[in-house]
Amino acid sequence: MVDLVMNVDDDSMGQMLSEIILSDHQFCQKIVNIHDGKKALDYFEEQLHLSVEEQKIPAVLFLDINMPVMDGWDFLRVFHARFKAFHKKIKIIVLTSSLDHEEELKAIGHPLVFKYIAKPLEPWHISGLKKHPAFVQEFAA
Amino acid sequence: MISDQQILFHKIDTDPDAVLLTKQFKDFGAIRNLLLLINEIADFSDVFVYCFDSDYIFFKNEWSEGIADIKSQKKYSDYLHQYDNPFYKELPLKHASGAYFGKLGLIRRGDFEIDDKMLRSIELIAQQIAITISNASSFEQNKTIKELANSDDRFKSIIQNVSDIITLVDRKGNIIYTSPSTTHMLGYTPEEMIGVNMFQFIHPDDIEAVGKRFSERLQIEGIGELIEFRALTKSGKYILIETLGNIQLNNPSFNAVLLISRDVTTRRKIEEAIRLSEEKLRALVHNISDIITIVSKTGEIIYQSASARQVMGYEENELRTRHFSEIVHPEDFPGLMAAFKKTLETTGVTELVEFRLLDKDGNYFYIEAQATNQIDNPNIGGLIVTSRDISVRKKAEEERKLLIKELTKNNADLKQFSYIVSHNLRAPLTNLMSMLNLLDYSTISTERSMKLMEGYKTTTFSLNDTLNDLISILLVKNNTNIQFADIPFVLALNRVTLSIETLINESGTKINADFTQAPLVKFNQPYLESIFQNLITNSIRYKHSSRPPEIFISTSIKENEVIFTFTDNGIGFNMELVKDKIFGLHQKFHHHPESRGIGLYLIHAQITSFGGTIQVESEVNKGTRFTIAFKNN
Repeated sequence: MVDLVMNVDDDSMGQMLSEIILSDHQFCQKIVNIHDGKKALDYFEEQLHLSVEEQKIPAVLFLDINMPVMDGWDFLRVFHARFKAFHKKIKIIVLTSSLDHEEELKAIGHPLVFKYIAKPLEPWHISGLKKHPAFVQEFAA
Repeated sequence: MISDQQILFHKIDTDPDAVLLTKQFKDFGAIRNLLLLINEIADFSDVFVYCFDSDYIFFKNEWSEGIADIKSQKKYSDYLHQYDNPFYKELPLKHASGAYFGKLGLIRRGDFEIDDKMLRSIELIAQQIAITISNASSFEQNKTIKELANSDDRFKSIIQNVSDIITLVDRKGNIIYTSPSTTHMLGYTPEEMIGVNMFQFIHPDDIEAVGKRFSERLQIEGIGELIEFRALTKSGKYILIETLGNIQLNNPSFNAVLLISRDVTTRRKIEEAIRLSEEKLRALVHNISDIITIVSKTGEIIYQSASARQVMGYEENELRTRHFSEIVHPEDFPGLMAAFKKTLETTGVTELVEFRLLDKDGNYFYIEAQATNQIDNPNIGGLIVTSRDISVRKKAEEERKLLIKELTKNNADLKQFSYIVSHNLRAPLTNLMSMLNLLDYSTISTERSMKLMEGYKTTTFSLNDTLNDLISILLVKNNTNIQFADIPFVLALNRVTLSIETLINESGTKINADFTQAPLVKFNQPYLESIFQNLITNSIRYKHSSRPPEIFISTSIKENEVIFTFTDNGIGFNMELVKDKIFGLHQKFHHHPESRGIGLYLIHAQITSFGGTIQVESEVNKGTRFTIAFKNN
């Protein structure tokens, strides 16, 4: 089980549903729900001021693309430039309701994007993740 | 060539002294006998002998009396009208030297023809008459011949070598001499013309004018004015002749009218051609809608065509002497000035320039102009500017720009709308579906709630399908830079069968695919998947009730196309009823609950947006076959 998952999405209902699926599959200890890209950046900004031991860096970050204030792409741009220390620790999964194939390609092509999932998040997505080499160790027991 | 002697003889013929020749002629009995001889050959109504030096003629018209009277009151001029008489014939009378001095006139009766044999006999008699007259008069001539034979060689040389024709005629127009150049101009030898009346060589339409001038001028000694008329050549054609007459009837060296003639046919032809081409050019300049302007190198308008009237309201040349800057829009002037200077430095046609001109009413309108530098052309001495009114085109361009602007905005609005649909509508819908997936149905205790839950589920999934289709259409219609690559058919098929695995398994569908002939296609992957998905789900949706769905898919290469065929064994449809509508939006051909009338519209759009084609064949209760041709380049 991973320690922390962050879900960046302006849709609270979606977050609630993701939470249910994640907890059903015992994917993580804790979930941080954040409603737009800017607040997510604020979170990481705070972490920078803490010691490495005190930092709470999510292992997985579900990122919606279409959000008010700051959308997913802007978040990725700033995160890529400013929070290099966290890049290796976080697997960013783009979770969007868009069906635009170009957005999908753009996401998959992004160096920080680990996976692209079209909403809704479904149980088999999570079971797939658990079997992925990047996480398989977390769920070995 | 005419001999010196001949000239001299002509002179003698016209010598006033020579008039005595016939008057003193004693031996007219011989001539009378000759005339009677002619009458024995053929029965003429009139036969007469006429010598140029007298108005009077020998004649005989009362054959019974056997008289040919030299003192007849008949004048040759009385017979002139006979030229038009088809029964009139004349034969020349010549001196032994060949010079003409008179003619034998014959007017035959209408009831007989002169055959060649008769004519030859009469010619012989005419010759005899001529000799008789010549012999009788020759003694009188000797003195003058000698005098004149020694006369001015220079004169002879001149008249024999000039290209103009020099002709001497008597007061009645009979040709008594014509220079050798005649042959060159008219085709006749001088011999053929001498003795013939000059009016015989003049075009019928010109005879009156020339005759009038000729008779008027006879009263005045000296040089007249040039007259033009058409002369008959030996070949039967008329040429235009310009003749200068010089009346020398009282000059003892001539006693004739001296005519100098020149062929002006070529000159007239050239003049006519020039006139026509000028007229044509003028007509061209007048009738085209383009305005032709000639501008001097200082910018002054030298010429401006009449076509400016329709376009600008100015009459032809009204703008003459004005500077072009006066009528050019101030904003356009610097650009035009630059183009003007550039034109002055170049040769050939310049590029098109657009600018605004002031019309007579004070409004500006757009024209398009092109200039040619003709400064060095002495006939032009300026720039030829061809201008065309393009205000209509300009207005259309403006309107088109506005329309494009509006359409672009509309298009952007539509994109925005499709974005809202794809996100704002889809996001809550995915939540609804997620909830249905997560709901534990075992906790629902009443059958009524269970039924409602099922209804909720069906409705939500149906809504989801519709929305997905709509979004797909928006994406196809909006995306201008769809990526495409070589996609293995098998990959797209596998992805689709995986995503609708349940549907395929539950319906017992069997898919037979053979991509060996053409494993790849250059296409867009989501589109290809959409094509597979729509065709397969259609086949399952419209399966035949008595058999499980079976699908055959194959590909092949034909020229530069990849041909994809998809055949099922479903219920099919009546081609007659639906052939034009099958790929239309919301065209449903079955009352099937899941039919949304969008799938075929969508794949048609996806295929045709890449230049491909899709065709369908179907038979009720047998199945349907789709044939898709993908462009393979």
